[in-house]
Amino acid sequence: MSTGPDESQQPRSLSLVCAALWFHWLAIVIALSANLAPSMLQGKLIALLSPYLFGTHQSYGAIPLELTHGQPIDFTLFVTVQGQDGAWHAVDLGQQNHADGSIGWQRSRWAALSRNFRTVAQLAPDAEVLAEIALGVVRYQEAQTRRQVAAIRLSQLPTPSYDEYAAVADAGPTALAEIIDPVVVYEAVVIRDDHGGITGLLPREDAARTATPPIHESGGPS
Amino acid sequence: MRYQPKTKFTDRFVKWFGVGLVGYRYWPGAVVIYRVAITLAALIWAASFVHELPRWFGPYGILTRGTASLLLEYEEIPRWQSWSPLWWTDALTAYYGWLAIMGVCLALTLLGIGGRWSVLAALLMLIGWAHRATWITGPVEPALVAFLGFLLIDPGPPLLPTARTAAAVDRTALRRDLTIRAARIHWWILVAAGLLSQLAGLVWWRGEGVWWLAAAGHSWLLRMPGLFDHPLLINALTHGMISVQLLALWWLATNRWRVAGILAGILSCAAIGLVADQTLYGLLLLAGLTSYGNGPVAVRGQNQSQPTKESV
Repeated sequence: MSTGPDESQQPRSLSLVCAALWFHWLAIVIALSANLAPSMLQGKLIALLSPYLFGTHQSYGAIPLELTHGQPIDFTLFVTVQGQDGAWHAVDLGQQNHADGSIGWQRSRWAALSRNFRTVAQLAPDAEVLAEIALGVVRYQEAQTRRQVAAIRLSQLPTPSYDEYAAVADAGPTALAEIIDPVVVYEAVVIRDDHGGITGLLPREDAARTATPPIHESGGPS
Repeated sequence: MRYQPKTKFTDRFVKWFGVGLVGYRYWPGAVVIYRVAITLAALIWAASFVHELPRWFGPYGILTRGTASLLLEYEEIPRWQSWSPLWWTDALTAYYGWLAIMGVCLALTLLGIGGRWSVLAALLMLIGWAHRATWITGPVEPALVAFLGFLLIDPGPPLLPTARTAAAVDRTALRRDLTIRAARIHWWILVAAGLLSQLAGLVWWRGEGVWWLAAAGHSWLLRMPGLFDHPLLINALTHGMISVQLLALWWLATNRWRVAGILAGILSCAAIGLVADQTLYGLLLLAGLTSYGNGPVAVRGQNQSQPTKESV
């Protein structure tokens, strides 16, 4: 077992390493403490430290360290697209479709992007950013299926509290839509040029959105 | 020979800010175990991207350069702070190649070949990847960067030591110990931050946290229909998750209860990885927990008569 270093070790360089570590932890503690809802002071400190925090990917932003707070932002959006035949289909984003009709996001990195999407949609809506993400999904889906997409919808599947679930426990998860209104967070139609190329998305107004949950329309998530 | 600072300033600095360096040593193999565990976790993380690369990157991926750049502008993050050569191309082969090279760098780090250079290469590859994939990353990437970055202080001897590297073991003892201390403190901060964030929500106080994870499809082990008939189990699992994290933080801060703290830490990692769906993060925290595997011992001739007091 080592009993200690020899004199070739430089205390000065050790001091520098220790100083760097303390700076790192100071920055990390500020970033982590601002994870849920940063104060103005925390925001300014993070802006000051951003070259280090962002440059080394140590910024914690809105990463869900809390695992869940049971809030809408914790519920991953379910993405469906409408084909030219009018039928809605789920997009394969790595989600697991269980036999009981429920959906798991365990293997899906979409959950992280969905959280960012909801953050943009709720806190500082930017139509261009929302459309760009949705357009990315449309592009991916068309490449996968080689079929044109007419519209896209991002919705929050019914996510019940224990008491709400108790009311429909016998009927199973598919009956949840009867007591919980599905929330369509974003819906848009695909705009194409004369050659069929995608030129953009046109968001649908709230009134034009159908509230029928996609889980029913396609007979369960596919 | 014990640590001998050459100036009063460095003496005081290392004494007060040396994160417990003065007076304590660790078993030289501790950093090797830590390095192997972290790089294995990193390799699994990197491999997890392989099968879904076309979904996110490439010309038909969801996060093409154009889309990701727009998101970066929305966040008002200067491009240079989110540096990555992967911003230059949408070619899928570049992304597969990047993952392959990163895997090689991580494997070299695991074996201890190349010393700090292989660690630095793996770290730069990892950060470059994380910057390009920011929008689909979670808590695992920043933690991985930090845990791997601590190996820059001293990555420890290679798995297959040579006569030269064996002779250097004593010369690098202080830096090696600093690596272990840094990993311990960072692990503690991350778990404490997660615990505090959980306690900021009522669902964790009311014993419903696990239910909401299952209801939203964010639990590896649990689903609504199975949980419904066991309300007390829901409460017990929710309060249990909080309790084991609290106990892990408390016990790991004391050397006397270190082993119990490690067990509580393992349960905490299992809960994060399996009860919730942060599998890779749970795995990485488990790897970081190996830094607590060996308790510090007093250096000969220094603090010899005192029991070690701190462990973090």
